[in-house]
Amino acid sequence: MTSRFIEIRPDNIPSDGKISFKNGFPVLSFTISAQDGLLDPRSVRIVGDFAAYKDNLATPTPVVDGDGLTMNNRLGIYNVFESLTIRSMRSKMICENIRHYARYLNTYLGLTSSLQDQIGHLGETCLIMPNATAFRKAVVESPTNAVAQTNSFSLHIPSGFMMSGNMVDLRPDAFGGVQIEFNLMPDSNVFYATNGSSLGLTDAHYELSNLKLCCEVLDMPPDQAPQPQGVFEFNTITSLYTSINSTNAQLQYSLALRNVLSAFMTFVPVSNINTLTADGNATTYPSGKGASATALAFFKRIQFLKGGSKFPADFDFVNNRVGDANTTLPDPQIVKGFIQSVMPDYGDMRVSISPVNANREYDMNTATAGSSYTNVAEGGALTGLGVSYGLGGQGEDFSSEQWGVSLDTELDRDNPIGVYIFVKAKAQLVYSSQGIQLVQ
Amino acid sequence: MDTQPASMPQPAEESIPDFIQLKQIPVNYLQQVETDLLDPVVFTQGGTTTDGFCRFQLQNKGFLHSHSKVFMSIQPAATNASVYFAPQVGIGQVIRKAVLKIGNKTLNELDSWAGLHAVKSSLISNEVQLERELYMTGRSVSHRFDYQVDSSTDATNYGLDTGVEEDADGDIKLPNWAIMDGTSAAKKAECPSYSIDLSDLFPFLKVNQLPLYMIREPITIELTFQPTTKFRAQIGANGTADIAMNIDQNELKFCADYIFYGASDEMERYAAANRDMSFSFVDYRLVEHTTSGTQIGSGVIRNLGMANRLVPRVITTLPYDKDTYNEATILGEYVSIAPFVNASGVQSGTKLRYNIRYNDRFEYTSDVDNTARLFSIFTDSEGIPFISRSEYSGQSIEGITDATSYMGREQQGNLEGQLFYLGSRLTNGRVGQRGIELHLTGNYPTSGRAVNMMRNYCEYLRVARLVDGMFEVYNA
Repeated sequence: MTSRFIEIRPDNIPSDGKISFKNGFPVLSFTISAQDGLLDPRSVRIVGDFAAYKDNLATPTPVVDGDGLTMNNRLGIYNVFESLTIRSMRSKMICENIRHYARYLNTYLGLTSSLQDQIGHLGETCLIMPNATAFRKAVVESPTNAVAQTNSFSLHIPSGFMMSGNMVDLRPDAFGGVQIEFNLMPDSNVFYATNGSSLGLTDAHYELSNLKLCCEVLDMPPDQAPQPQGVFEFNTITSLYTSINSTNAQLQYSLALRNVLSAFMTFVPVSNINTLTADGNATTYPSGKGASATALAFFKRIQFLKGGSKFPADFDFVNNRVGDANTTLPDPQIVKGFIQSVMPDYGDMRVSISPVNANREYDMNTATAGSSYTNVAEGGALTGLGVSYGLGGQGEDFSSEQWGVSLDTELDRDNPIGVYIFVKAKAQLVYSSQGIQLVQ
Repeated sequence: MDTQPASMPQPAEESIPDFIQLKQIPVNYLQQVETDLLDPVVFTQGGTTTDGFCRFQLQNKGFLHSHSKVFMSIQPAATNASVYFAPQVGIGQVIRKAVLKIGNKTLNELDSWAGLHAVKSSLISNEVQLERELYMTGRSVSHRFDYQVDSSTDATNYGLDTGVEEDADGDIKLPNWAIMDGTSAAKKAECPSYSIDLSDLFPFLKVNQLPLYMIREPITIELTFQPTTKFRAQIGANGTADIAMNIDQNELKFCADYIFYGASDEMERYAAANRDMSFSFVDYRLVEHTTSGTQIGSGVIRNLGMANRLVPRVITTLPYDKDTYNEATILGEYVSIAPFVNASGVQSGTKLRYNIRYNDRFEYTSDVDNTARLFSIFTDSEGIPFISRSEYSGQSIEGITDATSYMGREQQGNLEGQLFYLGSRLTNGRVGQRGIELHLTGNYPTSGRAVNMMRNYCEYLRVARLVDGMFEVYNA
């Protein structure tokens, strides 16, 4: 079977070909039109150049050494994506929508790629560099303030739909065209000042240029064209957001999902979100204990619930810190649950979580303090809670019972902590000449 | 209810898997392995400007295990105390050409073999290179952050990792055992021996294996070695150039593993059932052209040939002048130069453009002008290369460290933009009469480590036919 590599320009590109949230382009979308062919979603790459500027003059000034502006180093170019939406062009139906996409990827990339992956191929394709200083110098800052250095990227799109391994039948009477849409992240949640002060950086912004979507489309053999109907199975991500602000937090959600495979959650102080003074995409422990808003507030006891009862573990996860308040390493059982919720045991275990980036030795101070969360080596703090469901990949039915988690923490100060919950569940897209239906 | 024996289903006759297809042999199939340690039947050391050579002849028995190994060791003739193999290619840099012959027919042959080996070696993860390949093959591309003094978190740059901490001079060295020292007979005797996998020499053996017992012709492996000076190994910063690096003939062996399947006469029955058998396999054809940064700046269109052949992939490398840059570098001659990036970190000047045209169609609808996309295209074709951004495209001025050296040589100039491998998977079927055209334009350095050659490896399909023990090979 022969195939073609195709390139597609963004649907909404301005005349100068440059897209930035700051200058009024908060949405980036591409449409792969209906045609006689099969799309391999894994081949889709968003290609372009990235530049960071510290002001918004007619000719903006590139960020240079000393400006103290940076981004989350594990995310690289993914810092700029707030949400991902994949639609069928035939009915405009949403096939997959991942909100808080950058936060999802912060965990996903940390638990599916090793440190060498991040220094290596993910550095070239996604501008990732798992060290705060090295990243700032390699990607954000330019050697001179006259011209921004070239930062080419060619990112893949980690999502259930794109990585399912199934081909998308692009024929108009089958699945039809596909629209891939990103909501771009506000500049204030992409960048943060290393000294915690946005003075002189309030117009800092990023710019994407030379954007295109590249992918491979297999030609449809005219004599062997399959019936224009089929089922497209994939694991979809449902994202939820809430906040906690007490030592005992009870989170309950009616997911209305049948085949839930796993769920994980990450945390960040609400005050760090959407501000140029702190990294809003970091995945840290909750903070706010006693007299200090920056001291970490550790988990003491965790219960995962189904319909109000402990499930799947019929016991509490009591953190190792409860028995020894001086231990700085995370609880291995909790870490294992977190890893498995993203990458099952039987998957490729290339992970970058380690005692270096999952310990409890940092605080929530700004980067000028050596102990800051932003200075954690090996990609930055990598913390979260996770749970897996079901044997044999069948998942758990949460269509009629609530999913929940009970967190007993040291958070005894008024310091709201944002909780981002991501639920992985099996989904099916059934398509035929009659239409398309999403079954979850 | 009783069932008449005649009406019961009879067990099917025991099926024999297709032994030459590795994937079709059950993992629990009974097999015995016999190992022979073969000396070369012909060996020539080579000279300072002449190639060396050796030939191994295999016995016609069993199936040749695809992971049989060639063992090899190098000894500096004198003077040099810190000789090592280029980390991206290992002991493979000694070999210039590899040929597998059956009778007088050539089954697999590749010149500048180590250039392809360097590209394929980049697909091995950095962790595996550091923890296994450094011991097995001398390959060791892995990275470590160059942390600031008194900081365990603050690193401006990164560089190569050997598993050994930097010394007081800020130099990263290989472990002592991996460094070849020619200063005394005792030190020479301690030079490490490495191995090269047979399936690395002849890539089709990754999916096929040869039924030696069914072949009635002599089977030989011929290796052509680089000249003794300049190209066989790298020398540390204080080393003396042009010292011969001799292959230790006592260590040069072919460790042939012969596999025998089944507990009874399965192999005889397999041979009887396959008196006339054929299988397809991939071979590589090297197409070299001299070129220069100036020529690429003006745009080059090179015809790679391959008319009427099935060509799944094309790999392109752009090495510098090997007569100028060889043993006194970190990576040796098997590099590929990236487009020029100026001091401001900008890929300026003539815009990079890459495309491949055949069957009256360009492979990419518009020329590829983004180095990260070229990386993705290479990944799509070959697999994930474990190469950093600075090593690949030379982008990110602050990538490779200039604070620590590697075996005494500065890393930034030796690594930055030196592993710019290009590779494309061809999607439009059999190549037509006009062959394959490679189109490349870009702003390349014209002095210093400037491109002086374009080396293309075209993967193409061939068919081998074995009839009554006699081999025939032709293009698919």
